[in-house]
Amino acid sequence: MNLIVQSLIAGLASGSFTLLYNAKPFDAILGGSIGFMGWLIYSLTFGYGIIASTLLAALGIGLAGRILSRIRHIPSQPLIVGGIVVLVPGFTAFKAMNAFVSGNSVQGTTMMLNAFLMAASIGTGLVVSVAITAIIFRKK
Amino acid sequence: MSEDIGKALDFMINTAAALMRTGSPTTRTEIWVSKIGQKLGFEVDAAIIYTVIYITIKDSNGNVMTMTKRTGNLSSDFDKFIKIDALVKKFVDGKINLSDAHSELKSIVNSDFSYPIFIRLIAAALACGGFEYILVGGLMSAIASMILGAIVYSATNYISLLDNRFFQQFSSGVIIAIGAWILSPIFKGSTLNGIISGAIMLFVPGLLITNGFSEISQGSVISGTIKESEALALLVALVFGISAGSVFVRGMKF
Repeated sequence: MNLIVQSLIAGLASGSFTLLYNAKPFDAILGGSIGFMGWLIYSLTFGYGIIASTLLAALGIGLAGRILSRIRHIPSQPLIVGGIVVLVPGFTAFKAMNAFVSGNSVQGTTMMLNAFLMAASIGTGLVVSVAITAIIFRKK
Repeated sequence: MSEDIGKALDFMINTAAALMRTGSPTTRTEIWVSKIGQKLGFEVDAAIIYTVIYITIKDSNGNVMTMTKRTGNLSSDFDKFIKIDALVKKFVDGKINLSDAHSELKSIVNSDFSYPIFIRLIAAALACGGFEYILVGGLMSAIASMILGAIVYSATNYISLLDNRFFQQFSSGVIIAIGAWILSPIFKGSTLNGIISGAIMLFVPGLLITNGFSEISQGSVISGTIKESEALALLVALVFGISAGSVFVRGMKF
């Protein structure tokens, strides 16, 4: 139950974020739904480690965004951004920089490395989703 | 293919600039520019390196023309992005001619659609509160984050202090730190860490970090690396702003 509530809040946050970039209401709703799904995948696979769960969530978001963008005949970026922003390691990167400013270089380095790996896993997930959708739609 | 080479190049570079200014990925823009050129019967070489666009076209008679354009600050406007993308698609499919496409592009670029201020503020508040709740937790911190996020969003977007993103990030950080310090005792049970974590989410360049990495992995290494560098600079500015704000209010611990 808690998982669903958290995912719904994640969806609401990502939909609102998409709206801030001037997306049409329907696209913001789609972005929010993708954000909901992304956080659900992230939470369900969290046991495999933060990097793996981020990768799987990014892959799911990328696939959903690209398939929906094909259906709607619009670019995938506006749909994916809302979902991805929930996963981006912005807060971790902030905490890392904060540790550096406070003089905790070791903690800062660890966190920055973690943020980099999370960003890398999001990038990888998105690139893999591009490849998969390219293969799917080429066959048709 | 009797289209004038100059007009064609002008349309191509304006389309690329419009796409980049509204949030299109580098790779997609390069592909669209190449397709427009091919549609008009030119050989095209397009290179987009972050804010600089280089396009060279060659016609069947061997005439070569190159144009360079700086796009200035890049931002995201999905409404315009979708419209420009649809226009390019229409042009590539042959449903519209060059001069009509160019005038339509100009009207899309000059159109000024944005949501009313209260909708934008509600969206900013929901985004900040939601991010706080799922990343840190705590209902009171989430509510405080919503209020602070809306205030800082309006302060940076509607009261433009300077056309300088680094300074905007720094001042956002200062306002967030001071705002969190003020709101923390009002909302009993909220934490400074929680309030700040939600309110900063609109300003952390997480998207830039991720897009940068995506572009590096798709082959646009220079563009991606520049985005990573910019993200780091913006993050440093935000954190330094929060540090400066916390020094100002003293005794604030994260």
